[in-house]
Amino acid sequence: MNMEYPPINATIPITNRPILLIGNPNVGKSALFARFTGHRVDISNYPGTTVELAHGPFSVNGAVLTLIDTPGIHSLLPRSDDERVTCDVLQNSSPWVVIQVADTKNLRRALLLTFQLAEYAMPFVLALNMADEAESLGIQVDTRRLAQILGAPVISTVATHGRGLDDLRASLESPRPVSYQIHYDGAIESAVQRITTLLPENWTGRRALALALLSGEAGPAEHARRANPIPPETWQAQLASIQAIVAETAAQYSQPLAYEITRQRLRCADCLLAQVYQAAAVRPPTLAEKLGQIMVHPVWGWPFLVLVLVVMYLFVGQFGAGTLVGWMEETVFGEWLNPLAIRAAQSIPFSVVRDFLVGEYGLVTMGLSYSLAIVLPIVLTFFLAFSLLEDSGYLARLAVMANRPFKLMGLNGKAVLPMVLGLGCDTMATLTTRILETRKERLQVTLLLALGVPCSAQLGVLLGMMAFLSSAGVAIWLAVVTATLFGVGWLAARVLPGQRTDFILELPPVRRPQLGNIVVKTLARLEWYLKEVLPLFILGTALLFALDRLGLLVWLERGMAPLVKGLLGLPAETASVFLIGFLRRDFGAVGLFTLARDSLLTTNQLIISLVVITLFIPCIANVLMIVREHGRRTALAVAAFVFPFAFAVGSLLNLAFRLLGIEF
Amino acid sequence: MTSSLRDLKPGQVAQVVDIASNNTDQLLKLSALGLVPGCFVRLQQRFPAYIVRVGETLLSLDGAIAEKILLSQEIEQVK
Ligand SMILES: Nc1nc2c(ncn2[C@@H]2O[C@H](COP(=O)(O)OP(=O)(O)OP(=O)(O)O)[C@@H](O)[C@H]2O)c(=O)[nH]1
Ligand SMILES: [Mg+2]
Repeated sequence: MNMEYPPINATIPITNRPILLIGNPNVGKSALFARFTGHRVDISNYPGTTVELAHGPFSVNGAVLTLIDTPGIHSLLPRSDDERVTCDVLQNSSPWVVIQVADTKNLRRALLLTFQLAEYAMPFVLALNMADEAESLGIQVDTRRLAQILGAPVISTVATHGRGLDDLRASLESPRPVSYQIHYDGAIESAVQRITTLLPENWTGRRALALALLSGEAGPAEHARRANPIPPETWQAQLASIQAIVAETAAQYSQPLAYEITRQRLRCADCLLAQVYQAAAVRPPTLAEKLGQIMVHPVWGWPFLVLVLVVMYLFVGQFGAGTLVGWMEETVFGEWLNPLAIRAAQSIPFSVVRDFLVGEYGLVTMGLSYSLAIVLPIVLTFFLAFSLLEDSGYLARLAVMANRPFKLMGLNGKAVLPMVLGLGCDTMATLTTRILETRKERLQVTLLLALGVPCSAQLGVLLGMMAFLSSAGVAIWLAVVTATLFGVGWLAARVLPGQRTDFILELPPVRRPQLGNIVVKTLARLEWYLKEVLPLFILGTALLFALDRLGLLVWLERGMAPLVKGLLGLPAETASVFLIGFLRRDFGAVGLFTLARDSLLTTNQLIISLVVITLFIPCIANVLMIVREHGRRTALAVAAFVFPFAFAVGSLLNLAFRLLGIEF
Repeated sequence: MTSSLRDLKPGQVAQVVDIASNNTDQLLKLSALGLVPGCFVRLQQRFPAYIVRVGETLLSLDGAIAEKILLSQEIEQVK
């Protein structure tokens, strides 16, 4: 289709042509999206926060359009699944306008993308975001001059404070493509010309398609072919001629063509920068930069890490799991809600209903008090602390610290991001594995998340349970789980086919976390918890109640006795714990919590059961996410591995305890 | 004799003259982050991973990549 670019106003018809936010990772696309649409999306200070599209309504000059937030990209040649999402939507959605969001101080890298978008000839606006940071570093960008050169609007913005947003919105009203095109050297230019003439005339952005083909990327041309089909035989013939041109051109360079093209783009960016970008020659490191250096320092980085862990533990483990849980359990439930519910239930004539509400497996006395009194405070404190890690920029620096151990597993430090996010929620973390570059790495991390990374809800219960364990017990649990993760990671690296990649990660600047963002993020995650976890807790309670009533629970405990009692050396009652563990691992963990509190488990048994439930099957949502990202067979394979494996590790631990005569 | 990023000391700045890698993916990845021959890099640290500053971008890298980043002999000491 040949695109016309009519001005955007109330008279334009409602279409599904969106406005896209595109840009390098961690430049503030999601922050702008949230400002413009009022929708809540994750905004965090590390590259790779957004891994899927978000849509929201956006009004421009009286017309209501769709704004789309995309995962960050380094170039239009996608190298990982999250980048692929962005490149696909750019080519498939025929946007009204593309808003490129840039980090002002990193204009050089942004221009690399600008030039590629210019080749697509899509209507374009450049938002130079983080203007506040550039200013405080003494960096000046002549936006007027840049706009003149590009022939497109360039607006300075600060997404976090809403600065420049009205100007940005206004600049979208009469969209037009960038007029500036860069010129490559003779051989590449002539190849581009020749390829362009081979492409059908009704394909848009032919220059960009030609350059993509030269770079060895057929994706964009395939997208164009789907939009404007031509007979397959014709296309095959054209493609053969194109490949001949590509080969002939490539022979003239010592480096791969894609690399040569990028280097020429960067050279143009440098020329342009010389005209519009001014930075203080040498500046002393800022306070934030100094702090950032300490976080990854060869010596000080380690005590800093310990400090972070201790503070997290004090806040989540002591304050959340101790003080808050105690208050919720003893005061809120023990003194107010439970007596109230029991009194209310006494007026109900049917004992079944009464027991269902307030009995041993009662909805209020068990379901609600587990999920609200025990897990909620811990999830709340965990997410608060976690947001601080995300927004300060520490999370990415943790990847630097953990790169070496991760390399032992055949992964690299980048995999730390999804693994640590898994401590929040394994389901979301499974999605975040999209930032990893090879399928092998994605599968490896997906497996490890499913196997043994306890999510916040489970972590919460585990923390609560540490009260019943000596520190030696906690150490054993931690050691067994960590060793298992490493062992399985190491094995998976050898078994799974595919490539590993070297560690290259961009570190975000250390920033002061914003209270508003932390509150919004924590509330949203709590909402997720209440919506997703609470119903399952209640379902689990109902299930246990029904099994108990029908006499099936005893039967089940007897059936599972050889496994539970024989191999794991646990009391028969724990069978029900594993049963509800199928719904959610943390729910199973809560079951252990009550057993431990009622002194029904020895310390040895507690450690063994904790290990098994930590390595137990992931929650349903996580399994569904694996299905979505990797298909049913992979999900099945993961489940089929994890389930027996958890019991095997537990049995081995039991055996080891017995053979070595270890008794806590 | 050529020197690589591995030979640089923390705090030193040098110009990249070549990236001696024949792994296209690696080259493309580094170039997309702005690290190409001609640019100046400043080494912040070498352990537990290499960290370099290229313009306003802070990159952390494996030693295996650092040794492929070849530098000109003139080294500036900034600090
Ligand atoms: N100082 C300052 N910080 C900003 C600005 N815009 C965003 N940030 C911060 O930069 C970080 C990244 O913001 P996001 O909106 O998540 O960036 P993104 O481009 O969506 O990142 P990805 O989804 O990872 O590609 C967050 O910590 C924001 O608070 C700004 O204009 N000024
Ligand atoms: Mg984002």
